[in-house]
Amino acid sequence: MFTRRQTLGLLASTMTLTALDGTGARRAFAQDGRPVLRVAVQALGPSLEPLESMTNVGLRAIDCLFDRPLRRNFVEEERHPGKPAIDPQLATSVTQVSPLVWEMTLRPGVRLHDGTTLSAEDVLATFGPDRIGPDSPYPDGKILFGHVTEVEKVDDMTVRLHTRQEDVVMRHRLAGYGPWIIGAKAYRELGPEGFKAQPVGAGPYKLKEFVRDTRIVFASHDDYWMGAPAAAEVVISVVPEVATRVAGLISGEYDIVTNVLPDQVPQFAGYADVEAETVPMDLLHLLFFDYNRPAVADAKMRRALSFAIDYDAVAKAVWGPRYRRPNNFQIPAFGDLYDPNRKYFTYDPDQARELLSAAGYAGGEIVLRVPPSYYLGSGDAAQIIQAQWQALGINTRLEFAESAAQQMQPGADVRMISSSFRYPDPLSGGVIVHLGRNSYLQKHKFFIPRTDYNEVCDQFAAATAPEERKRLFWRLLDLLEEEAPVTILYAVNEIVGKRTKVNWTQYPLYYMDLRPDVFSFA
Amino acid sequence: MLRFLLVRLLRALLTVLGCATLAFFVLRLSGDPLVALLPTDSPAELLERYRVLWGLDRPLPEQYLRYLLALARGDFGRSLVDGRDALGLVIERAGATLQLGGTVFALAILIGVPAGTVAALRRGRPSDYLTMSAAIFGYAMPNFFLGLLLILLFAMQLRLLPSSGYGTPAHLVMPAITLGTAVAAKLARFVRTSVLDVLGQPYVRTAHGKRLGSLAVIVRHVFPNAAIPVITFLGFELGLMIGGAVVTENVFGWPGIGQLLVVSVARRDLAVVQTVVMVIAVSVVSANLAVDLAYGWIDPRVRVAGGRHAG
Repeated sequence: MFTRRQTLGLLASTMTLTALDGTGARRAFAQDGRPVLRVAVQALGPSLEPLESMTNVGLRAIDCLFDRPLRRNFVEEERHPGKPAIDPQLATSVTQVSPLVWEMTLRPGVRLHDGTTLSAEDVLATFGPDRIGPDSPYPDGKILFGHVTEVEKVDDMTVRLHTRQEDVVMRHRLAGYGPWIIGAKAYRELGPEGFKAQPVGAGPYKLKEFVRDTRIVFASHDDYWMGAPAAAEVVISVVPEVATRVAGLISGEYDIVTNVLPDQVPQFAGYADVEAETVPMDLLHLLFFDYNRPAVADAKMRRALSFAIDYDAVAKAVWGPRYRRPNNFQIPAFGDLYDPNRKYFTYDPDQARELLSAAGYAGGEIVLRVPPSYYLGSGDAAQIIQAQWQALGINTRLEFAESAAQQMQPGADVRMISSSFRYPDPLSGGVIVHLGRNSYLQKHKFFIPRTDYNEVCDQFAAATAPEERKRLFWRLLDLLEEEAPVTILYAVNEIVGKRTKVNWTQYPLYYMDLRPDVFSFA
Repeated sequence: MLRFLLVRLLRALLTVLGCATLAFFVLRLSGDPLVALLPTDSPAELLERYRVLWGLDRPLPEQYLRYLLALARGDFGRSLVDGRDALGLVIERAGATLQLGGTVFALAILIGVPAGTVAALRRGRPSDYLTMSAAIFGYAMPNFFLGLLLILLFAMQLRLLPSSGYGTPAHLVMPAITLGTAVAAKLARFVRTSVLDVLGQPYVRTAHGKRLGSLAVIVRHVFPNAAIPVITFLGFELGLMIGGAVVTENVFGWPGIGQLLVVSVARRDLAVVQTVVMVIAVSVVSANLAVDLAYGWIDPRVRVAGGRHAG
């Protein structure tokens, strides 16, 4: 019979034995002496098909596997804010040869993961009608490149994209979401479904193992055109609990951990070998008003509520001192289209009071509903906003929804939604994508424009002359201030934890760029 | 006996089907799966495309009928996320779940049975109070909290064990202790009560009177008689082990069925959630069936009664 002491002794001995097994607390090295990069993420995308992976958790892996014709230079953008920077990647040049035709010249001698050499065939496969045409199973492919009517092979290294209407942001598109060049041979031989499991691209890492929702292992693509990548392998593990991810970083099991919470950042100061990096993303959290609800049907009421939020207090409470409040639906990378003076709503209690009385507000209830487990920090933000509104005499009821879907059920006046910019131009997000006639908000009749907003959207989408685009975009921003269908709370921060020995930076989009020029071990 | 078995099996089948039906409707009525599945800033036309693609635009009764017909053919449906076979996805996770569940069970029995027995035999003495206090502590400690404490100590401070992941025996230690101590604590309290019950019975006094050694009395007379409530308890725990490790799996990044359930519910991945619910239902139901059968094996009286009932 076991005594307690024996039982405890048994347990202790199990632990000693397993401890010898190695926990990976040391830095891991592959056989060739290059280190293994170990990353812990909150989740992974379920697929490795680029056109199915445009989510915050899916982009990381895709950006390791595939290269694009062009590359957005985030480092340069950071150095010179307001100047869009695009570098050649798999294409050495992309030029507009006529209003409806863009020509790209491919980089010679680029080796793909399966040993084939990059040619026009790969570009033709990437932009094939089965991927971006009307019957494509990938809606994102259709949305981003559906206007490409023909992909013409001029010669082995030259391809022309013909578009239905003139596309002034084609270079941004070819450096943004979607145009990850796939290996034509593998795609043809494996078929679209097989390709998801054995993707072939020209990116710095090739696939070694993929266990859905659990782990991805990449091996270095030693023939990568920019030179051999710094890590021999990249192991990305799913660790859903944020406290465990941070513990694993501190204990030395991981080199990079994603999605750290703001209140965990001070913890990093106690350790010399790890640091936290806070990056405001090109992703905004908004509150939107339901035009069908009498309480907020009047624009004066929506504007009053928007002026009644102390945005800096909310953003600071949710994201800590390193928060960013965007100026309307713009990011500085819009370049000439960016107007820092169009600030949208700011905290102005006097104006809020004025508008409340002009709207004849008589203390009716305003229902504010957010899904705290879906939008990070939204629970805190909503409680603070409730208090701020109540301080101005606005009778606010706060409701928490369990999911984004439940939040959308009827019965609320104000809810939360997000908006992102996939490339640095207003066409990529915001005014048209998230507020235009095909947006979720308009399709579900939450936003029913009372102005000529939709007509101006159409004009802006069709405009090509820079001055005309600027005029129409700014007109849209003015109309938004007049309508107030939404108010912008803050840019979402992504906080990554990393070993100080890892030279790598999180971009304002959720890519994980591990190319040799931006990633190395000290 | 055959009829008894058939009736039990039929009842089990109905229970499983009931669970599947409930999951089917709750999932579809508790919000639009597409809103959960796609980023909220997705364009509306994307939502519509997927709705048609997955047949979610059809009336609910039609969807249900198609689901039942597919089930009858052994087709559990496909994941909305990547089109993979739902049953295959669940089976892929079964290894990790069984490994953790098995270890937890072994640990719980190894700790719970001796601790409960010792407490019963030394009833009212300090060792009883000590064991039972430890049991209440183990039972009351939330898994989430205990897991993080262990990570703090063994991964961050001592750097002896990996904080998360799956693969080596070292990865198993902390999740197994987190779950195992909670089950062991409950088990110890059950064992103590059962053994105390039996200790008061006349036949135990008789056995002592026959001057049998105390160990022999415990092994031959006390344990078999105290086993029935304990087996019932273990049956419940065994059934719950498949889906009940959700929190612990999440804390330790353990890729089991519980984590698959969490991920799939969040994504409203209909076919996968339905399949996981069915697998959990099947495991609970079969554990109970096994417990029923074990009664007969342990206790001849149940066997006779069961036989008569069946005859």
